[in-house]
Amino acid sequence: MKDGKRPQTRIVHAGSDPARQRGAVNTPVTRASTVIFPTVAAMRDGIENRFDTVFYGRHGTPSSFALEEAVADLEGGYRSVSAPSGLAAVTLSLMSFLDAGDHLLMVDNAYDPSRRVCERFLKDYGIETTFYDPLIGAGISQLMQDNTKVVFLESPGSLTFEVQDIPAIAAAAHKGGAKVILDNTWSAGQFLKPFALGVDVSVQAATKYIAGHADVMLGLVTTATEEDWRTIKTRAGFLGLCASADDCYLALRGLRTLDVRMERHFETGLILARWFQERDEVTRVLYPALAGDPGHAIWQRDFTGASGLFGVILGEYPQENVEAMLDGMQYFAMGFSWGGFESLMIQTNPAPNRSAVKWAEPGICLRVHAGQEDPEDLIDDLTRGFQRLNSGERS
Amino acid sequence: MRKPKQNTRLVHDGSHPEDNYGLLNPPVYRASTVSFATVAAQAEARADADNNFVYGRRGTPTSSAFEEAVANLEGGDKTIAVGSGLAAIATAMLAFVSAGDHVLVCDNGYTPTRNLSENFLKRFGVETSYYDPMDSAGVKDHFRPNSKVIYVEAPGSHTFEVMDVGAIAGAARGAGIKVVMDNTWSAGYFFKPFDFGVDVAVQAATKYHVGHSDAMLGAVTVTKSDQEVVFASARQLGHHAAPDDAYLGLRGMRTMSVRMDRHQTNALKVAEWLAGRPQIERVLHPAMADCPGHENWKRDFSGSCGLFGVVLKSAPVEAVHALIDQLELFGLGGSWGGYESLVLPTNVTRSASAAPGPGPMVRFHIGLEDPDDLIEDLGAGLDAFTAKLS
Repeated sequence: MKDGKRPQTRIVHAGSDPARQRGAVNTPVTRASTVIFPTVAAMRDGIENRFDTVFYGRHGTPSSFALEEAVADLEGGYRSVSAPSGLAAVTLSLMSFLDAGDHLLMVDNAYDPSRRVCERFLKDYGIETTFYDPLIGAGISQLMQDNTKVVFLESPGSLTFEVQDIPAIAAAAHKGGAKVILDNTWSAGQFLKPFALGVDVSVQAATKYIAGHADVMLGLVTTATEEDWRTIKTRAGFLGLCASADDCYLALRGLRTLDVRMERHFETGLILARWFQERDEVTRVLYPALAGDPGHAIWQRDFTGASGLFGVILGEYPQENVEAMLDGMQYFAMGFSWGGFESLMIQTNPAPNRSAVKWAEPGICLRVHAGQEDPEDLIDDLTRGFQRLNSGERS
Repeated sequence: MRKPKQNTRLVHDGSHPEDNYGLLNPPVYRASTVSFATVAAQAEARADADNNFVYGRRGTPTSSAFEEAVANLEGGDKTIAVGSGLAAIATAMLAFVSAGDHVLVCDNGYTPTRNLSENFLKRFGVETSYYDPMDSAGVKDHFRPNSKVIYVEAPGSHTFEVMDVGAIAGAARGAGIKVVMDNTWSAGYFFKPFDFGVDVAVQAATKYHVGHSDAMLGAVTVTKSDQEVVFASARQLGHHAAPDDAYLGLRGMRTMSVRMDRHQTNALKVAEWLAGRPQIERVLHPAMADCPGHENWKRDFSGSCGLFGVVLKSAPVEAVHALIDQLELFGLGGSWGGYESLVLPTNVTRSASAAPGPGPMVRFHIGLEDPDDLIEDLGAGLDAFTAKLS
C-alpha cells in the first residue's frame, strides 16, 4: 500500500495486488499444503526465506499473506501473523515472549479464556501471572518484577468496559524491560492505533469485526517491529499454527467493509446506549463513548470511535423475569462472540473473573452488541423486552 | 448386525442425511456465534460443551462429521480436529506435560516434533531426550521419574525403520507414561494404534485424509479416559479446524481406500524397480525385507502407503540435484499424501541411533499416476545422476 493514502482508501486496497492475481480484484483462495519448486536450488532459497515466500501451506499462502498485510496496514504495524482463532492469537503472543520462570502482568478484566490460559495453562509451564487493576495507569511500575516479561492489556476490558491508560502503562512496562501486548479486538484496529501509543504487539480476534459476519474463527497478531514479528512467526511455526485459506479470504473480504460497518455499529451503539441510559430499569451503561463514562476522557484522547459492544447494568430483578426478557427477543440473539452484522444480548457475570479488583456492583449485567439493523426496530424489541422484564410474562 | 468393514465405513462414517435434508455430505458450517433460543438452552449446552455446538471455536457439525470418521478409522473413541498435523502433535504433547517434566521422542521422529520439543517445550521447563526406536528392550532405561510422554512414529520420518509399537507402548504403560503416536504414514488405514497400547494417535490429515494437497489439517484421537485433558489442551491453545478444511478432509476420506490401494501398488512397483538400479544403495521401504523393522511391519500393519526413501550410492551433491531437477512427473516440495508424485532430498538429525548412509538420501511419494510413466521418468533422472559421476 502506497504511503500517503487515507485510511478509507487503504482499507479498500491493502493486501491486494491485481497484477499478481491475473487482474482479479480479490486474492484467490489458495488452498495448499505442498508447494512445488522447479529446482533444488529454488527449494533451498525457499527454506532460507520461508517466512517471506510461499514455501509450505502451514507457513502461509497468498491468501494469508494478503490478509496479514492488510491487517498490519490497518493496525499501523510492521507485519501480522495469522492464527486459527483470537484465543490462539492470544496464547501465541504470550508464549512468544514468556518462558518458564517468567512473570506476566495480565489485566484483571481480560477476555475470560485469556484469563484461564494464564491461570491454568501458562501456570503449568512455570509462568506466574499477577492480575492488575485495569485503571492502574503508571502505577503498574509498582507491580513490575525483575522477571516480568509481558504486560498484557485489553481496552476497553471484557464485560465491564474500563478504558486503560495505554501510553502510561506502556511507558512503565518498557522501563522494566517488558513487552506490551494489547488485545485490540473491541476497536478492531479501526478506532485505536496501538503502536502510536507504545504497544509492541496487537492481538485481534478477527472472528469479530474484521470477519464481521459470524462465519469465521480467526486471529491476528501484529507487531511494531520486524524482530518481534520474526519471534512470533517462529513460535507459531513450532506450534503448527496456521489459518485456513478460506477463512483468510473471508476475513479480508470482511475487512473491505470494516469502515462502513464500524460507522454503523458506532452510530447504533450510541443510540441504544443512550436509550438504555434513559430507562428506569437501568442502573448504569458501560460504554466509553458516553460522556459520563469513567473511561470517557481517555477514550476521547486515544480512540477515534466506539464499536457496537457495551454493557448494561439493570436493577435487581428475579432471574425468571430476566430470562423472560432475553428468551423473547426478536432481534437480539443469544450466543457467544460478537462483531457480526447481527445484534446480540446476553446476561453476564463479571464477578468470578475478577481478582485484583472485586466486582461488587449489584444488579443484573448484560452485554449488548448493536448490529446493522435499523435502530428503531431494535428499540421496539428492547421496549417489549423491558415489558417482559417488569411483568415476568413470556411472549 | 455385523460391524461394517473399514472400506464401507470410510464411505459412510460421519454422514448424517437425517440431520441435513437427506444430503450425504455435511454442509460447510462457517460459524463463530451459535445462538440459543433461551437462556436455559444456552446453559444446558454449555454444561456439556464437548457434545454440543456452543461456539465456532469449539467445533461445528462439519468438524464433528470429520472427527467421527477419523475416530472410527483410528479405532479410538473421540477425535478433535485442529489446524495442522503439527498443531495436533503440539496439542497431544502439551496435554500431558508441565514445567519440570520430561518427554521421550523417537530418534527418527518428524523434524518439527524435534523442534517443538527442543526449541519450544524447553522454554517452558520441559526436557526432551531421544531413544533408539529399534531398541524396544532398552527403551525403559530412558524412563525417568518425571517422564510423562513418549512420542512414537512408525515407520520413522525419512528413514522408515518400523519400531515395535506394542513393545514400546507396553513398557511405557507400565511406567505410567502416555504414548503419543504419529500415525500419519499409515493414515490409520493400515495400522490401528489403539490395538497396540497407544494412548493418543495423531494424524497430519493434510496428507492422506485430505489427499489433494489443498488443506492443512490435523486430528488427535483418544480413548474416553484421555479425552478431557487432550481436548482441554486444544481449547486452551485456541486450536480448531476451519470448516472448509474439515469438509475437504472428510471429502478426501471418501476416496481414501481406492487411493491408498493405488498408492500402495504403485509405490511397491517403483520401489522394487529402484532396488534393482545400480545407482541405488538401498531402498528404505517397510514392505521390503531388508528394511529395519520389516518383521514388525509384517506383523502389525495391513499394508503400506506411497511414501518411502532411497539411499543413493555415494555421490557429489550435484549428482543428486541433477537427478531431482531432471524429473518431470515428481514435484519437488514438502508434505506428501496428495494424488501427485513428489521427491525430496533428505537430511536427518540423529542423537540416539545411526542414520542410514553413507550415500545421500532421497524421499519419494508415489502418486496415482501410471507407475510405468513414473519409472521412465526416474530412469531419466538416474541417467542424469550417473552423468554427473564421471
